[in-house]
Amino acid sequence: VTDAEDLEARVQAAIAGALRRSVPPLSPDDDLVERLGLDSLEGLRLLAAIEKRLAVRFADDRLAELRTLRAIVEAVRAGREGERR
Amino acid sequence: MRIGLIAMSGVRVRSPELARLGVTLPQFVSRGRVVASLPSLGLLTVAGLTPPDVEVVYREIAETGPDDPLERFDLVGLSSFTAQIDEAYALADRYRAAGVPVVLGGIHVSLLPDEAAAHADSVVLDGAEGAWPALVADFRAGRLRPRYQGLRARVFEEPWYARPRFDLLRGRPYNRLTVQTSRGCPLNCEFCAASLRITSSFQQKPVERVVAEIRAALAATDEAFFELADDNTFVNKRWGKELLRAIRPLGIRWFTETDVSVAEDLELLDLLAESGCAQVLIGFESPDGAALDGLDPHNWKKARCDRYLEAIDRIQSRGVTVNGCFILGLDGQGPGVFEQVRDFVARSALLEVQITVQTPFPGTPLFERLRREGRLLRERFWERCTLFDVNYRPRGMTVDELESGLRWLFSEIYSEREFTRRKRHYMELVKGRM
Repeated sequence: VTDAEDLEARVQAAIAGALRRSVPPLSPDDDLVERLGLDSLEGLRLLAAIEKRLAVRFADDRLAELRTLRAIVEAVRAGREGERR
Repeated sequence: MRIGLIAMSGVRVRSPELARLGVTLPQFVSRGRVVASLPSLGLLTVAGLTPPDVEVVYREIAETGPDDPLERFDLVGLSSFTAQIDEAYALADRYRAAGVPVVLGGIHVSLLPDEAAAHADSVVLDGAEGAWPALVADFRAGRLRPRYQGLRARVFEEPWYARPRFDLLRGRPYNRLTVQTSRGCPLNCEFCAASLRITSSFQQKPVERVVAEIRAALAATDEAFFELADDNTFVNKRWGKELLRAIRPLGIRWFTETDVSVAEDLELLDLLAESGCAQVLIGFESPDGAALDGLDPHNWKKARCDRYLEAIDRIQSRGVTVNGCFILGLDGQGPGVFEQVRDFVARSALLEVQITVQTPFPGTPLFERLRREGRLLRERFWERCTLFDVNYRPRGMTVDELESGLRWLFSEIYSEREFTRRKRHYMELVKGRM
């Protein structure tokens, strides 16, 4: 398992935990709002849960862009690299 | 027999400057768009009150153009918000000219029945309950009367109650459905033009009926987001908790309007979150207590103004967001109110904010008072009752100051920067509760 795969799996787990329901398999570029039937508030709660679980903070001005697994994984990685610097 | 029930949908802004702002600012009139896209629960209730051997067709006015041929019905029922009542009258006139009898009903018609009667064969006053079944029977017998008085109380009791015909929405693209759990509001704010004007007292629907309606709506549409079409759902906290426990297993997401007292009951707040409540809309009206003086007969809102910020945090920390409503142009407000509201919103981090101009809807105590005081700008201005157009002379500022202050506040509060900041605050609140 690569770091990227591991991170993707952890984000997926955070999503499932935050929604408290079964989550269908997600492709990296699935629109989470459409795929999971989220309203805008659930979307924000989801991002909050991922931040908390993975100990990261997304850039405020990018919140609206975080609609796919790939975008979230990249944002988590960027957040961690930002912290290391 | 075929009855057509036609809903007047759509809410708009008359001011061209505000209309332009609406295009460029995120969130602006977002609540108005939601309201405009809801099905008419009143007409679905009328459909439910119709005898089962009568065919009922539900239509939205937006489905047809103004010059399209009229769909054929034996009888037409129309209901409309004040801002679109003239369009409803025009459609009624067209149908009547084509020989189709028209019935008008709803809050505006109930408050101005003589005006409406000029465009209808019959008007229904107050609730359709207690009036519509008799109207249909009279129509079939060829003796339709010009006026029917509906109920102002006991509307949710047998034999008056009827479940709305949600099945008429099948195949329609609504993303929200409405269910009513109560009618009226004991706060009785001077400006309010909602269902309290057609009720004699606050009415609550039995919880099992609410649940049955939600189930019926889900069966008809598969849509799992509901708006409770109430003016103030949680007046009675004990009943409210019973309701929340009953809808918790349904797995729906929902929205309602209530007052700030929900924040005083922590068990209720927890139940709100557990039952799928996404957002509560609360009319704060003004961040300044002095401006709330006299707004309701018991100064209920004024007495709670200093607890607004704490209440918002308590509610939002459960993951239930607050849509905070503010009215501009109240008699106790001066030109400083715009900065006051901006600063309050910044401190509170309300996720969503609704800012409107005080609007003297015809038939309200506010309308009567402003008319007595000679402060209405026009004698008849129904198409301008949009909540964004100024129709009276404010006491603490000029009309120009109110209009320009409103535009300034829109650009401050609904900017992407401010909305992003509020989203971040909400996320931190949610994280704090995890």
